[in-house]
Amino acid sequence: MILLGQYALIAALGVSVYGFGAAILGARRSQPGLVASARNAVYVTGALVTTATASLLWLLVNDRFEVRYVAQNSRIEQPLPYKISALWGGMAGSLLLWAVVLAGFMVVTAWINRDRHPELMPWVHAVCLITTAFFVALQLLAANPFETLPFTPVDGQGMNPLLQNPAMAIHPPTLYLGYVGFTIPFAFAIAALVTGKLDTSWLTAIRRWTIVAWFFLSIGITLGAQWAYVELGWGGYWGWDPVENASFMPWLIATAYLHSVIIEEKKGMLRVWNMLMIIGTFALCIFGTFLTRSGIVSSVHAFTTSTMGPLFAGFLAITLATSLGLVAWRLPELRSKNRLESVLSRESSFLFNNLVLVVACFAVLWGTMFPVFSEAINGVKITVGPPFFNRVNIPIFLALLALTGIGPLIAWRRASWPSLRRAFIWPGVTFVLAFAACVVLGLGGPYTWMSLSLSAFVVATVVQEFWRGARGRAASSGESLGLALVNLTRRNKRRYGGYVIHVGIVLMAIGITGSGVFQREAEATLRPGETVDIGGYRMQFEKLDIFAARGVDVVSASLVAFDGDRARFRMVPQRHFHPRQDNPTTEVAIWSGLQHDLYVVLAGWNNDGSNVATFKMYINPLVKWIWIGGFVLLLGTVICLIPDRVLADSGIANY
Amino acid sequence: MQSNRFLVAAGIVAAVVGLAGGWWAAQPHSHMGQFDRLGAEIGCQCGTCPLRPIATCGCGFADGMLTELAALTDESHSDAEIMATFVSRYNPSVRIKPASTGLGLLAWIAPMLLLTVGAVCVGAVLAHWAATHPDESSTSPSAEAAEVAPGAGAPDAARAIVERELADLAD
Repeated sequence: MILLGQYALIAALGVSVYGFGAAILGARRSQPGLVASARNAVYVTGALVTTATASLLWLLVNDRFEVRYVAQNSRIEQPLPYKISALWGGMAGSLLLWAVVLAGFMVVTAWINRDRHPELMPWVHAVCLITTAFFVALQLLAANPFETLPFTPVDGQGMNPLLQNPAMAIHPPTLYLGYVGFTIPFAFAIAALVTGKLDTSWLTAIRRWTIVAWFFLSIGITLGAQWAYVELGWGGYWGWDPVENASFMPWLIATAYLHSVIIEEKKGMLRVWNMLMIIGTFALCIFGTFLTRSGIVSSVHAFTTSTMGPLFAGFLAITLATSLGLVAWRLPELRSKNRLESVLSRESSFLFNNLVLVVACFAVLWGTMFPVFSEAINGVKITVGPPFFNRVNIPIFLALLALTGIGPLIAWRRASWPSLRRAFIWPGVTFVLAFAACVVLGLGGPYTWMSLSLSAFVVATVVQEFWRGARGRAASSGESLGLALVNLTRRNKRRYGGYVIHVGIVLMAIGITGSGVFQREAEATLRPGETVDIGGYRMQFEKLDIFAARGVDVVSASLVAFDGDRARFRMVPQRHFHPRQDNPTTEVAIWSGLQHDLYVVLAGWNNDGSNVATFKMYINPLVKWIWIGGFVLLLGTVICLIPDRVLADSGIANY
Repeated sequence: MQSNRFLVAAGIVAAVVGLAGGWWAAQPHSHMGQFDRLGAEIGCQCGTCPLRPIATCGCGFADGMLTELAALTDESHSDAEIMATFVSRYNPSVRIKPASTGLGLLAWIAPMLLLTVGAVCVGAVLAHWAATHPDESSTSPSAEAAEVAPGAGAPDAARAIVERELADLAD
């Protein structure tokens, strides 16, 4: 199985390089035979990379510790789900996951488009194949998952205990589905640039791919935040860590693209900009992968420092140079023939939305890379942490929240003052009332007031849009209001699905504001029977237990939360000592409600038999709304993605 | 056309001033004490959570650093003195908020600079586009009424508007 995996990787490299060459030659010489051969190379590469992945999975599940990767990331007593997730728990395996996800996407793309876009597809194949070849080559040259040890250990070291968490088991694959998914829109963009077929056909081809990739990136980021919340034990979910930032940056640029592409589809404008957004998103995906593996920045999430940094940097440089060169070459053809009709239009608001998203991305990139820049400039590494990111980004995101509400209220092409007055009156009143309520109730400071009142403004905008649309439809069709609402959404899923996504963003903003501003904290050292008060709860320490379970030594404390004299629930924070790991992991106890989470960490204990334990406790208001907002965001994306058979059959929509 | 330019300029000024004001206002909360303020600006040095402020880190090493911070704040040292003490005891990376002088200042102003340049560019593009399509309705409510007013050619104009609106309904 080791040899099978190894040879499958070598063959995948050979076939993908061949396919790359065949696709380009076939396209340039107009030889359908070569193009067909390149398409077959896509299928064969997919099969070979899948074979390699299956081989590594088999080795992990069967405890074949003679393989270095298995010995480093698994052990006999590791539960089966985590033996499987060990596939992406280490550097080499995560690269294999990148390659297999990309292989899967390019096979699906090749199959779906086997009879479509004949001019574009050879170039799409070429881009996908050379990207796959790069990731396979990385494994063969710098991080081989099938490398064997000179001896066979009795047991492995096991996967990092912090990664043995359900959210972390699915977070990397979803994140990679997002990262890798953006390869397909990038490949189509390059194909359009090379061939000069710059009409909207390539945009139509990638519309669904872009939303799917954005969907998975959103899930991946949310799951990562949830993992940090339940596993790292510091009471928060987002620490502006470089690796967190690495996933957030392409999300911001992809979000900008998802808005600006609408203008290109409707008016044929912003064509250069959209090209740059697609290229930027893909480059940031590669950059994020590079950041995690190069060791150039310190991160709790990064893999160990490796030698692949220069390889990644080279690939990134070639990618950027080639794609930007192509954009420059096609600049005359990319120039928009249409012009904006009015400053007061939704197009304008989208332009500012794009500007703010790009500035947000730049601020995150700048802060992430500033330690590297400062060290290069004057030899002193200036560290940039959460205080910088919070201070710079909070105003930017408030501006974004405002634009989220303003955009849908402005008509396309041109808006008149009367129509603006009509559109803004109720959301505006809602904003003013919410702001006044925040001030009167003394909820935090100006940022909190703005965040909560802008959230109310956006919700009012969305409700008004649904209400007006449904009422109009009900009046014209005779449908009930409920049915009109459903049919309205079905008739225009991208628009109304987008509004649902806006609501999801608002719920997340409310959760972030609540937990960021109103968090309360207490620390207490207790003997059994003693109590401490936090946020209306009286926490009584019951007992401390020390035991072993599945090869892990567990220190477990039990507390009962009283609300008045009534015992409400029991909380059991723990510390786990994993074999062959230096530091124990924190297993937080969380009681979660819609108003707040009670979050308890076992911070320390006495080993002298006195059963004295120290706890850190947090009241995290509204955190659950972040996760609920994440679900609503996903629901909105699913609405956008539902195929429209009726429209598709009639040829109106063609994904 | 004049009003378009005015709108663009006013919008840019409002956005830039608003965000600049926001950044300025985002100082550490004035009601925070020195201990809390510096606890949010000093990074944990345990090696596994290098960028996390000691106030929120929660690891044992951060607790030790918080104890040191408490001792220094009790001795009535200034923020700068306390930070200098931490830098000398650990290393410069203990300061996780760039200074507002020297190279650190560049970290703070670069996003603002990009926003300003970007806003001016977007504004210039909008003004240029709007200048090539003189906009009447945006300044005069009566212009919109005139577009659909009854009279010669009005049905065609109204139909054109309806057709454009129906096309827009697709999104």
